[in-house]
Amino acid sequence: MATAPLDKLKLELRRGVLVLAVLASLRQPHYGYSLRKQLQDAGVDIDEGTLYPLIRRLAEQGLLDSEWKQGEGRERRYYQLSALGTDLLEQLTQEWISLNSAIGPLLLCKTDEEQHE
Amino acid sequence: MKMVERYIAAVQRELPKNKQDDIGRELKANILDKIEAMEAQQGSVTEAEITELLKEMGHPRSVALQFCPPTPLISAALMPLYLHTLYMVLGVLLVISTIAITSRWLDGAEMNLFWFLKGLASSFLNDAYFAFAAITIGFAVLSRKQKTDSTEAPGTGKWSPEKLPAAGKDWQHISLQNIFGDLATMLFLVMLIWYPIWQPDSGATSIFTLEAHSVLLWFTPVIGIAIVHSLWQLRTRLWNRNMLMLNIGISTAFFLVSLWLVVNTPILRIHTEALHASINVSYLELSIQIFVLVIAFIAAYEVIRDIRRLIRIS
Repeated sequence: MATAPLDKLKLELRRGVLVLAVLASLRQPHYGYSLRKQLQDAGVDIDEGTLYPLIRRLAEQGLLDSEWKQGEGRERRYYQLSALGTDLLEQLTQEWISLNSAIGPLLLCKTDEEQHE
Repeated sequence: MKMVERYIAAVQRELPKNKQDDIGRELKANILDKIEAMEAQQGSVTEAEITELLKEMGHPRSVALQFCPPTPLISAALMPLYLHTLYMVLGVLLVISTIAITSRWLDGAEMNLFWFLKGLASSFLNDAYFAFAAITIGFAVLSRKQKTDSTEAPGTGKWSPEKLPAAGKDWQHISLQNIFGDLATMLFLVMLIWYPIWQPDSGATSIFTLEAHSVLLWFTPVIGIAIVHSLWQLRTRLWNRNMLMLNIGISTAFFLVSLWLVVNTPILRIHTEALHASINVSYLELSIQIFVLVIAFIAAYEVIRDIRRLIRIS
């Protein structure tokens, strides 16, 4: 019954985290499909409809550099963190660590009632 | 592969001109990568599987929307200011239309209430369409110019909690609709009472009987105070003790005058020769009496309501 609100909240929770995952993965150059594969292998499932527009948006914001390259008989667009993106990723990583260390204990903390059960 | 080409062309048609080539090129590369991965896994890929893959990606219009989401005509930051401006302008237009149509109605040979209401609606709507379009276009242009990263609504920059009005009940907030409704009604009344005196050359006579008209002439200052009060409400938009007391005074005066008019019939001058044979004069007078009695009841209700509010606010 609670699937719809759960899906909505999960989507909201993932939105910001996905940017972080994408930026972190693009320390090395990737084209769209290879980036998706890498994220999937790392356990971050993201659909194409979200990922491809997201990398384009990040590139438009100057966080990624992009370049068309020929390979295996056809062209692919490769993305990699720009200098601005690298700088931002570092700050976001710090933010993530501090948030994680603050929220982690809150999530694990049990109420007195739960502890007595 | 023709199907992939067709799919990409369909997506491109839904995109802005300047992004069609770039997004189409990238989308093609991504789809071909996916097909290549399927081929590596299964050996070959059938047309049916490509169809399925494209279906999974979504309708071309949905894909185009993911790449270029539509921007709202008016940005969220400007929306409250847009709505406020729209209501204010429409309110002012209602007041202007009421004045213009009342003047035209009083000038006319036939004083038909239906034509007056029709004229008022038509005049207001004509101006309102233009105002709505002009304000919307203006704010749309402003939204485009506004920096995309700015989420702060205009006019919210400098403020302090001490300057905010005191917390109160919902009723304390005065809506713009109420203010402009009152203003239009009061101006209509003033014109109705004073028209024959303002325009003596027109030969127009008052619609009221001599006795009723003289009482209403004396009542005009109360209507004047009510107009000033409405204008003041536009500035404060919040009921306070003094404003409630003034409103009680105005409503009481309206109640007393309406009651006096009901008791001292007839109120309106009725030209019996202009009436249709089937219309009974006494029925018509009774209808007018009931109408004015309803006004008296509304005024009495407002007096009681405002006294209760005054007690609560104290």
